[in-house]
Amino acid sequence: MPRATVLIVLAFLAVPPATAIAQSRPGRPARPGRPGADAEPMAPAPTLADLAEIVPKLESTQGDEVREAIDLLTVIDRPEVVAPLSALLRAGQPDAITDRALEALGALGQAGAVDVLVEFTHHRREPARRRAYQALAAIQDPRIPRLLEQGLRDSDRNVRGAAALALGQIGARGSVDTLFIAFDRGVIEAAIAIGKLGDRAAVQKFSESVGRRPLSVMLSGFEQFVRRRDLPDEVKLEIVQRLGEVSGPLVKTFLREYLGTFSERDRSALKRAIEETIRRIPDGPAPAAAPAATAGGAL
Amino acid sequence: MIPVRVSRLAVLAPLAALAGCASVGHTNAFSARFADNQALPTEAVVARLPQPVAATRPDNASGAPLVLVTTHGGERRVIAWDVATGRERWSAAFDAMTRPEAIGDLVVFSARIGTGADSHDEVLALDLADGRVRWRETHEMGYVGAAREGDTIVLVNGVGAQGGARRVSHVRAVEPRGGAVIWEYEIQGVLGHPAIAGGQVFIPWDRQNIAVLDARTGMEQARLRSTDDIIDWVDARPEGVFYGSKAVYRLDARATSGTRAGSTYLAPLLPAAPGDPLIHPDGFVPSPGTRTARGRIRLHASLQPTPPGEAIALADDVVYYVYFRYVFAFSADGTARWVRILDEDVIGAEPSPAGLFTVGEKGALRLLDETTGNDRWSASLGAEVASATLDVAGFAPTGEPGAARDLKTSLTEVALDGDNRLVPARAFALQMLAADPDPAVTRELLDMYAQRGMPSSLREAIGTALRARRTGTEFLVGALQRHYDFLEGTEAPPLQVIVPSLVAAAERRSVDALVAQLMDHETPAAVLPTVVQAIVQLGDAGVVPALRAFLVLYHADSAFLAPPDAACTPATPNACAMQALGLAADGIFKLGGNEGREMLTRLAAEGRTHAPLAATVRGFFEGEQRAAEEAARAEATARERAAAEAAQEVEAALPIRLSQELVNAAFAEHTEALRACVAEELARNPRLAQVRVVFIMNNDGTGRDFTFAPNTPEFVACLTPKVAAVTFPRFRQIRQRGSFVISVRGGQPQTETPAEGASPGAEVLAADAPWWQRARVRAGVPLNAAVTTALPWWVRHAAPVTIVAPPAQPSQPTQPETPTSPAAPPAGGERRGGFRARAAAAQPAPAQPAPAQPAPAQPAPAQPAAGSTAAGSARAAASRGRSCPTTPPAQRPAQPAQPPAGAPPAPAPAPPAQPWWLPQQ
Repeated sequence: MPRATVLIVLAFLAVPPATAIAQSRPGRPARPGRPGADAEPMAPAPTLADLAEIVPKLESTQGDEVREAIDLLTVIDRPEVVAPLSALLRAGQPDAITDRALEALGALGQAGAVDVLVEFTHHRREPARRRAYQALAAIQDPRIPRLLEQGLRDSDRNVRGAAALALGQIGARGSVDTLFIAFDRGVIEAAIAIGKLGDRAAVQKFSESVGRRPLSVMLSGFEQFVRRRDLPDEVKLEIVQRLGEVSGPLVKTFLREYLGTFSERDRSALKRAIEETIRRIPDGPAPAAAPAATAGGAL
Repeated sequence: MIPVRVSRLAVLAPLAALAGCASVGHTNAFSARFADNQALPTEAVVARLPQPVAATRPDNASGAPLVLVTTHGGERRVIAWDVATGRERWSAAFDAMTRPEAIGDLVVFSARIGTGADSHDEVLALDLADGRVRWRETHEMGYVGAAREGDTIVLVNGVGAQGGARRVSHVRAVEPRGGAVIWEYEIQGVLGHPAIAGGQVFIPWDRQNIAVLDARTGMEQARLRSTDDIIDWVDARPEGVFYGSKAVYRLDARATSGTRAGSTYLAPLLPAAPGDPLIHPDGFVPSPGTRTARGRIRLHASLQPTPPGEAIALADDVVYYVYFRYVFAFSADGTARWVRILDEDVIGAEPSPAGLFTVGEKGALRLLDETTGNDRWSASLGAEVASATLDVAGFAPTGEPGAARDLKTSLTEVALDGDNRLVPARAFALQMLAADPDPAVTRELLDMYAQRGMPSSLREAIGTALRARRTGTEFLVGALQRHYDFLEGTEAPPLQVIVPSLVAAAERRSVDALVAQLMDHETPAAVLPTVVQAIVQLGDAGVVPALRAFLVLYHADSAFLAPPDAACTPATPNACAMQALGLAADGIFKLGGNEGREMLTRLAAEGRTHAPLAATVRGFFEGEQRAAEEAARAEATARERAAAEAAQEVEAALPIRLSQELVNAAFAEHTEALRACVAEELARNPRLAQVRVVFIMNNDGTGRDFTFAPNTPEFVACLTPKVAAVTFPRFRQIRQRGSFVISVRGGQPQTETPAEGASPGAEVLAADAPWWQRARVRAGVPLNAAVTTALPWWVRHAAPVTIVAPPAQPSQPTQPETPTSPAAPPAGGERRGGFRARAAAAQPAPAQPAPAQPAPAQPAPAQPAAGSTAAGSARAAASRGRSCPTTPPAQRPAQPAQPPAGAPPAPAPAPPAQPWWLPQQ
């Protein structure tokens, strides 16, 4: 989940947004206000000075109070709030608070949270592990790609899928080989990640799976490849040609949508190749819904 | 029994036999009135049997090793195959319904003749030499089997051996050339395959009896009935006649017992072998000539030709267990020798000293070497085999069998064979493998367990074997290092079978790996309790942090919440997880010390802690408190019990009654108090010689009901409180009568010696001994001791006081020892002086001069001290319990000479020789 989105959600749940915007870190998107908040007096957004007052609330026996404290700490958005949140998690919490705290650490994106998040990638509850990987993906740290790769080894398909998407999200180009292994073992989310990260050789390797993997899965990877600006048109042309060999209404639909991303004045060879491929693919019945692929690969 | 037809030959023979057998009272066969298990007839039957010998040649008339088979598929045939030449002797096209048997020069079997509605079964007798039909017959009953000896062939047909309302059998003896009937019977019941030996036919009957008939006459000679076992078969071999079911009995004189214990009996071999293998085919059900799975699980063994009456023993010490296409060889003690996997099921087999001769369903003939299991010889029939009969005794090819294969390797191959028809035998091989303590076997078992596609029953057997392993635990510990990995395709180790074995082996090296498995979310919840329990059992305080982290992390997590009474199964992971939390808490409680307990207390008090977990934790403390209270109660009970036992011991150590010595000792403590009363009474009655006290002693040491003699009121009044103050030692009897005698008068010291010849210490008392001697004896004073009975008792039991001589009286210089007026006791005089003064005042004037007295100025200073010491010692001895407080001779004061022993006492009222209160010399 994008950081901005997380913050938006948290802001809705927690603190008066106007002051939160005022306190937000430079460069971060401003948090929108709560609906109807304009008409009400706003409490000042919590700051680091409020930490001593907020942290004791984490030990409250009232779940709502604990959740509110977590949200307030998120709004403070400073490295200092990682420690109380980590302590809260390590103290063992009900599911809702654990998940909220993990999301909060993800929203904070502080490197200091890596250790506790790694611990929670081994949590016995799948949602907790998934959130931990997602939170790790939000942290800029050189250790993160290797940690996310561990998620691909998880027995739960949702965790594997989240880890694969996270690797693609953070641009972990060094993990492409691992993503290919995961893809071969059925982690379909790896297709998207490979599409985001792979180079020309990866395109060729990925194309070899056409016919062995569901077309919808393959198209999700090709979509990422063709959207990238860092890949030369020759590579995209190869993809188009490969898809032309596959043909079929699903491919035609895909190519049409891809063609729609080009400007009308574009006269590139790639565009012409797309148009030609679309023209060659006969019109058939409306493409059926993509076959239900198993997310995260087989267990 | 219905005798159906008797041939001319048999007409006279039974009559002759009747005469000979009249003594045993049978006139027929299969009669309900025939007495079974009779010793004499049975001994006669046994006497007719040939001497047991080892089978060294084939039984058929040609004497050549022979294999008779029926073929499967296409045109069905009966083939006689000569093993020695390796060639087919003959082949005949018959749709054989039963397995062909070679009896003498014939091959007998039942075959389906014709097809469709016109088909019928016939019993065929083919010539062994060329396969031509010698004779054939049709019978309304199914063919069961035949046996032959000489010119007599016995055939049995029957209906109902496998159930059904009709149970009828027909047995007949026929001559071999034309099949003419010699004798025959039809009975209501089922008969089994017959056997012949020694001119006698042995026919199993209704699975309980064996009827022994004369082969020529058909008359029943004896009958055996088993009460402990069923009888499925009878077999006459060169080694003897045997019968039984799974077990083997020898038909000898002991068989009349009808019991296992009373018979010559061989218990079922390899009882653990799967498939319920038989050592001999069921004689009541004919072996089919068509292909069937029956008979593919068998035991094969040769028996030693031991004489009748001796134990049955396996020849060559080997028994073969055939399970379809697996062949196991065991020694008689059950030790595995070798295992062989053949490429086709074994249809028939026969053991020999060289090994096991087998016929495979695809026609392969093999002689498996007895020692190695390798082929010593092999050939092929070139046909698919439906059934086979082997007559290959003595066949011993010279081929080299090669080196024996490793047994473990063979067993592993069987376990991993992949033929899922044979899973029971694979599990059997697995158990044999697991019984090997070689550590490498543990690794093999682990590898097998990890194999995909392993049948669940076999996997379960491997798991059971792994749980029982106590060697090779290093491989188990190594396996714990493995964790689930989706990318690598690695599965979690089989903790459910590894961990119990590690715990049983107290393998503490596994603790770290177990902790890692505990913290790995991939570890199945179903095994978490096992893992936690193992960590607690194998670990020490060092595991507490891990347990604590586990407990804290999940104590409020929904994945660890389950109803308190939910059982842990693979289908209820939450229940297992919650159980694991409870066990972790238990580990912290036990290993975590005070810090751990405080942590648990806080955790139980937390609102978010799962209620069942909190209750469990509180239960630890409550349980401990209960246990402590229980222990305290038990300790108190033990203390009370110990005290009671000690009291009982003390009570038991008490004397039943007090001896007179103990009574005397008790009174000795009160000498001084009594002395005053005696002195007063003596003043009143100068002729007082003895004071007697009779009383009742209670076992608590008190006395009551005192009577005194003399019993003057003054004396009684004086004595009563003083005697009542005497405390006696405790004793066990409730009460006892006691007495105490004070001999007031003294006299000359009198030393008595035991009679000559008496043993030392023995007290000899003459019948007319004076009373003082009796008193001495009663007081426990040795007669020969240098003590005078004439001395006052308080001198002999001196009180711890110092006797001070009274001052000299100037007015009586000639009698310096005469007491002065009792009204003027010496100033500062002690009680003894006072007594003396009062006694002197009351004493009448002596009728004769007093004897010479010792010098008054010599108060014998050593006496009091000696007396005091003696009294103290006596009291100490009395308090120790059992010794009489006599004064040692060396410490006694010098005494006046006693009259000789046995001298009559002075006639009363003879005046005392000297006042009793004066110091004695």
